[in-house]
Amino acid sequence: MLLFIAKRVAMGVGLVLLVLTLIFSALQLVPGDPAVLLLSTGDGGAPSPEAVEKLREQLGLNQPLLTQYLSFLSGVFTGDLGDSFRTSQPVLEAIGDRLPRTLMLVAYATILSIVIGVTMGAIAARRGGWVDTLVTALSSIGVALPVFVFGAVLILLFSITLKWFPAGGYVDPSKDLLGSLASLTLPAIALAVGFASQIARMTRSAVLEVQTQDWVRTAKSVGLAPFTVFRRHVLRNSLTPVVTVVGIGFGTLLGSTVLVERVFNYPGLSSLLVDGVTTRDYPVVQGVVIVIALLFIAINIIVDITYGILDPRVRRA
Amino acid sequence: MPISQHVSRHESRATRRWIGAVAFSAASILVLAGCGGSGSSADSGDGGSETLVFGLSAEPATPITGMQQGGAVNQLLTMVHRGLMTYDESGAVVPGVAESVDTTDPTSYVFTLRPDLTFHDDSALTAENVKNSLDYYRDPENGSQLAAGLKDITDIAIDGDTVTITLAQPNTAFLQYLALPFAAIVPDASLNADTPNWVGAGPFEMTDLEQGIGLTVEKSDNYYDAEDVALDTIEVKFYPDGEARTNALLSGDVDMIEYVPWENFQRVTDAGLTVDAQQGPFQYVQFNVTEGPFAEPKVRQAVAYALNRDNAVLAAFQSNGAPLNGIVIPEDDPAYDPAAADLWSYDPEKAKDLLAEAGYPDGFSATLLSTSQYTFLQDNALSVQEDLRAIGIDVTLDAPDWSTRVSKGNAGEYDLAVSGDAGVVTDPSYLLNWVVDSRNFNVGWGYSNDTLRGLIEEGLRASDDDTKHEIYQQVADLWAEEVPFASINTREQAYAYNDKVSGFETLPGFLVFYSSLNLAHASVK
Repeated sequence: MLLFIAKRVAMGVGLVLLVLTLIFSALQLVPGDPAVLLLSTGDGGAPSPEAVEKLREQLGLNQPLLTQYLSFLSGVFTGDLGDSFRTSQPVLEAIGDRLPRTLMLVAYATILSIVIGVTMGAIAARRGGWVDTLVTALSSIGVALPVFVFGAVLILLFSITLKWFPAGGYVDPSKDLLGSLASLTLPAIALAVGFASQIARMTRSAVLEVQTQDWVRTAKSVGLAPFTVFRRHVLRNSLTPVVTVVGIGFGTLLGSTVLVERVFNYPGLSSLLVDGVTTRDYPVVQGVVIVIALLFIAINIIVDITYGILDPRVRRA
Repeated sequence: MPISQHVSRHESRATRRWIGAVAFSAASILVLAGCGGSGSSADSGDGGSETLVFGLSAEPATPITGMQQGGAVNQLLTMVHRGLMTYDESGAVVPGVAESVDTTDPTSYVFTLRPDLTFHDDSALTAENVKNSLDYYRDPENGSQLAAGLKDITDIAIDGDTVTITLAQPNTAFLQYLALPFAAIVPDASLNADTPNWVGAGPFEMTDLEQGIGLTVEKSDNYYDAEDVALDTIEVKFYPDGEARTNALLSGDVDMIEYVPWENFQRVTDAGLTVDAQQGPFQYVQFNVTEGPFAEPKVRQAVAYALNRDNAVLAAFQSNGAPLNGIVIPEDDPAYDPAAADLWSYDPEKAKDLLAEAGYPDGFSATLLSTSQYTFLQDNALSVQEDLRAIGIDVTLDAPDWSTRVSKGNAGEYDLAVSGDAGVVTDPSYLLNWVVDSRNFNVGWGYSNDTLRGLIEEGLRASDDDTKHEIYQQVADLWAEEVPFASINTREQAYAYNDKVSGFETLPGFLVFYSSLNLAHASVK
């Protein structure tokens, strides 16, 4: 078992190195010299070659690529991701500010998805008939609806017309918890709609399958109330595949935050990444990608190890 | 193996979990329903203090002293800084931290400072600071874009609270440069590239910056006109996305936004809010003249005659602009003449004839550089592409992201490009930028013209209005032939605000970008 865990972790470290190298090379290949771009924001004539050279020196862009790469690597392993070219903020600090915000959004969306998805799926399977048809139709729409379209509709309805929720932005939960939840609600719903639809479909088919099992018939025949049978014997046994989907869905949700954070002007990790790419802020892009990659790899390792613990056959694979 | 054979053993735990889930759902629903009404933050503030919530169009870079860093940073500089000169509510140049300015002759300016000036950090603003700030700005070594505008200064002498500036030659735009947001008088400690340029002598003091979210400025009692400032606080929130910015205004999250997207002018007006727009910046086609057909002035003229400008205004700006057939000279400048804005017309036949005269009767192919990141620049480019195809120039569109667009522009990797710009000052000498081969991303690559340059510099030295007017007629005539750029249209640049805001108006023409100067006169109900 220990050997299995060690193997998985070693693979993870190898993957991180691969990601680091890829992101460093990719950024170098994209056109656009950060120093020139930083000095080209104004309309007051071209940046002088001297000024560009001075800034390149200041940012360390004048060193050979290999030197830059090695100092970047050593920075990563010593926990120093450099400073943002544009705002001079240490990248680690920026990520520390923003990662919790994005995770908060993803967590809120996940909870909403589970509550809505399981409820709808269970009702659809239990009731059947027109309710089932309606839920199935709604979940098809939910899966197909682009996040930014749905987000725009939510803003139009709940912010501009009804004025119930802010149209975007961020409120610090430690200062104003209710305000923070209010500002998170619309983006979380926009993020949750596709995922909730997936969970609803999954729950529905799992429940339909479990309902035909022997133990359900037994439970009914010993005279338990129908709802008790459903709750205790059907729903509980239907949730195993749903749990798996939730694990996988985290990655998808994290990806979708790129759009949601844009539409709702939410200062999370994804908007930091997008702004970093558009302004060629190398340290920011590298830092954010590393953190996201680490998150994914860590989650995968945990999932692998968990399977390994649950199922000895996996360990030998 | 089925899990639930031992029904009773699991019952209590399962029930608890089930109740927990139901309770949680109920709580979620309560939260969802219960936050109704907490969406409007715009009137927050403590008992009677006036707070304006302002939506800024970008997350600003750290302000560097003396640098022109684009629109968003300039908005902030106008809040916290003032220079020797500034612009009044109508856009006229007036004394700022100076109480008065005397010009005994056109090359000598005597500024008398207001009494008891102090910066936000309570240190005194002295004539010494004025001299040091201006010396810093006029030194090209410091990379300040002001160096070109202040290059005529030969001497800055101080005596008590007077500052005497001597110029090598008369310069009609000199005072305008001193009024720019990035030409402010700052403490000596800010005169380097590493200290963020936040400490000033302007109406508002920067008190809080939250990276990626926003910043707060508060009224400064040290400001020389503090008694006229009504706002206690401006909460600036960053909204890089135009749609999100507009939504924030419409939902009441913010009271005011700048840089209203053109497609939203109507939407904001229909919602009963004010769109305060000025016809300011202009859009144009620039040429790489180092090789190929566009080195030939007749081909550039052909482009200028081929453009369907009405169409461009409609396609790129939803009619919130006006066709421009020449160069912009602001109406209150002595050089103003309506003819300068009317050098070409939409005449595809004439365009084809010009191409034939230049030796391209069957046209040729070319690349047109624009960007997909800003819709209006992309739509402008599509309109140009269509017009040029009609006269036989087969145009391939190159529309990368903005950063790549800038890099390619700075490297001259294009035949044609579409740009938008405005004069940094209203004096028509802003046109110099396009005739001195400045190798800048929004200026024709490789184009320089000594005659035009000479005329524009002569215009700066002009001792009387008639002479200047005369000179710019020659500039316009030469521009029509040479076509350093082929103009497409001017565009409206707008701020928008709700009915709580009063006393604010945008500044005219190119100055529209500095309109936040007028937040010093605004108030919020």
